[in-house]
Amino acid sequence: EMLMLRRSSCLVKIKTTAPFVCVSSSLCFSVTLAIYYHIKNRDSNRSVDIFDEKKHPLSREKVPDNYSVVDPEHKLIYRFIRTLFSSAQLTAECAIVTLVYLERLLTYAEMDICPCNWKRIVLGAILLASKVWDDQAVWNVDYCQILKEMTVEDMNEMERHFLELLQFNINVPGSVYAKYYFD
Amino acid sequence: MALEAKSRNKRYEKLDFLGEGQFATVYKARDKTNDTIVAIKKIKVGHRTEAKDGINRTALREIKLLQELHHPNIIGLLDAFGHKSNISLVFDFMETDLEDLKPNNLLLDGSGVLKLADFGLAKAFGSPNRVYTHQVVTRWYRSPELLFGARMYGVGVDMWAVGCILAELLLRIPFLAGDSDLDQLTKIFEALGTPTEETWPGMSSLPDYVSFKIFPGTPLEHIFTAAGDDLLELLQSLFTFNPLTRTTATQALKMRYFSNRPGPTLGPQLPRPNCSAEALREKETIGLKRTIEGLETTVMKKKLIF
Repeated sequence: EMLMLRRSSCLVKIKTTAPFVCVSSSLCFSVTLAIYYHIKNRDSNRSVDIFDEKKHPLSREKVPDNYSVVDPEHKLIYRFIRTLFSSAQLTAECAIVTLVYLERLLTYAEMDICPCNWKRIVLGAILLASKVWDDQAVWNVDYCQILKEMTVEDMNEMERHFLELLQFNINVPGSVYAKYYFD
Repeated sequence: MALEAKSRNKRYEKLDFLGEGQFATVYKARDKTNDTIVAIKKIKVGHRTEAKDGINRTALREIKLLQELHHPNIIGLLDAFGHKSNISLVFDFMETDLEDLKPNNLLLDGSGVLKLADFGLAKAFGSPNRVYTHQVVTRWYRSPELLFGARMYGVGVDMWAVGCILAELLLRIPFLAGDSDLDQLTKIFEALGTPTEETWPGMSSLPDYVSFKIFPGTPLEHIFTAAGDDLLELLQSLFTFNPLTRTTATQALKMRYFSNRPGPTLGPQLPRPNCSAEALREKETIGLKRTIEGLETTVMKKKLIF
């Protein structure tokens, strides 16, 4: 399977099955495990509409009725994120910033990451991390090639909400980065 | 949420149009929450493909860097807010007009303190061997290694820009004003002489290298006739072709020019824009009505005062 991604202005072909050059599988494992536990250990189900998969579906398939009830397995989160990381050729730095943004969003917006919203939250965090931290970030529209049913308008709207909820606090000081990296 | 964005948008009352660049429009505005005057830089939504890319990535990088940097000589970011695909940055208001190191991005605040502005293309430098894009820095202030397409470069590009700014302060007009990248190199070599592999090892291996006519160059004392020896020495060291031997900021600050008399004028004593040095002194004399009212503002506007 080949994905065409435009990086800055040139086209590159990325084999989705190619070995991961940028983010090591162990880093990907740690990041996804942290997300898995955020979902599993939540106290409530506070969400924000823009991240809800039923209101803003990621695929044409109907979301199952129990979409907001059943916690995703770690394997599922890992697969979803690893596809995005590798398609966008994210650096290790971006993988860590993704987690920082995600946790910052939950704190600032006083919401929980739960079965109904985890995919869109993760996508928003990856998109923003790559845009802010990667010199050769993929364009928003390119994520639509990975998530084929998602429109770029929806993607942009989600990005804007994400930023506003973060109150535009997108910097990650070295000390915070180091803390995440070594924990 | 939408409510919050709306209220942030309403927080500022637009007062005046300050200026417009290629990428942004700048307004003077009042922050209603604390009645202070701010400058709002509204990033332009580019052509359609760019608009489709959501929030402008250059603006986001500028926000990130300004959040990281806290320095008395760097402009302070007060706030940022978005509206649809627009994004606006809120700064301290500076009395002088608002990517890189060039005179337009050097501002003076009310107390005469210099502030660097516009970090749209700035990046944190981590590993010096990282591959960077070479389309940085406004052309007139761009170093020869960038013009030859160097992807690995360092703080030397900023020191070259500093040299160009210093030269511009002396000449009152841009020193090397090329109208294309090749013309820029020609202007540089005409003024400073064409470098060779001896004066700049590795030059001919740069990606966009082209060989140029050999210009002998003009001695700097013939260009900057009013500059003293210490200042010429500083200029010469900033205009070193080989980026590896070009003077660094630390080295430059140790040069004679910065310790020789006369010392610099203190910030608060500097003349302000729209206000001549005489007018400043006059202001201090209470009760004295200005006789040439209006003239000053029209005459002094936008003119650099030394």
